[in-house]
Amino acid sequence: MDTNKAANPTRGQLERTLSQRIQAFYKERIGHQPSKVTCQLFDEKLAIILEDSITNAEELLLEEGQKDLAKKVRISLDDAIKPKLITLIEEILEVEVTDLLSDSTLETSRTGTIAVLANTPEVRNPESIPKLKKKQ
Amino acid sequence: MSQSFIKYKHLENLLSERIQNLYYEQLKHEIDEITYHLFDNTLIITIEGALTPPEQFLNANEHKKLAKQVREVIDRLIKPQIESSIEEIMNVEVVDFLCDTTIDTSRTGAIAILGLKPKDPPPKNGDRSPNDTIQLRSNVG
Repeated sequence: MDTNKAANPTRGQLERTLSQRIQAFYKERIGHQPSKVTCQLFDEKLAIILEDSITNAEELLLEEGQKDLAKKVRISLDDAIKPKLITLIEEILEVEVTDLLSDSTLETSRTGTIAVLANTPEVRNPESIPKLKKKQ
Repeated sequence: MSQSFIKYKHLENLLSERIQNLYYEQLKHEIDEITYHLFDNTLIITIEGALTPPEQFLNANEHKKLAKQVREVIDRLIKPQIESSIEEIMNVEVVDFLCDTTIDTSRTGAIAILGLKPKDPPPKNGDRSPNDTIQLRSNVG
């Protein structure tokens, strides 16, 4: 437990750092930078929305009517990225990621990811992170 | 707690009921719990205990690949039904629906990108407690 609360980043700072690092991560790993990355911490989860996440090669496959192949490429890329993304999130948030759910839509070029965290990250303003009430 | 917030919680309850019914009617499977989080035009849904006993059995008996294939098909069939339930109950257009399931944790996560704001939007920050499920805030990044 971090006792020096004032030294912790705010929730907004943490989300911005995540967005920037994830954007750079995609550029570095697959040579394609999403135009926008939105990160949102809530409860013990993190939602990440990537706009324009599909590479030019996948777009070309789509244009050439190779949708199934483009899908396979995207699934493989998402699978390959998952463990590296987990490491990046864990490094920035300093909490363990216990589950990572990710899906992409080729037509909208959007990728959505939900990371389930072992704990709520330490932030200066913990009250700003909404706690969910379970529904059934 | 404001009236619009209570109304919104009611929509969540209706959606939970619908999703539970989808799983029960088509798979005879009872899911454990469903949670929601709304920000901007994005609705996050987490379904715990989504995996059916046969899928769990396959996974526990060295047929993980097959369990994954089964789940991909189930997700593909359930996806449009959840999507249309959101549109109908929340009176919004779903412009994108992203959905994934982890076999080992039996958890399904879905992200719905909404095209139009709900007719009864959730309250602004001042009207709710920080622990309320629904939240509106601006994008970061």
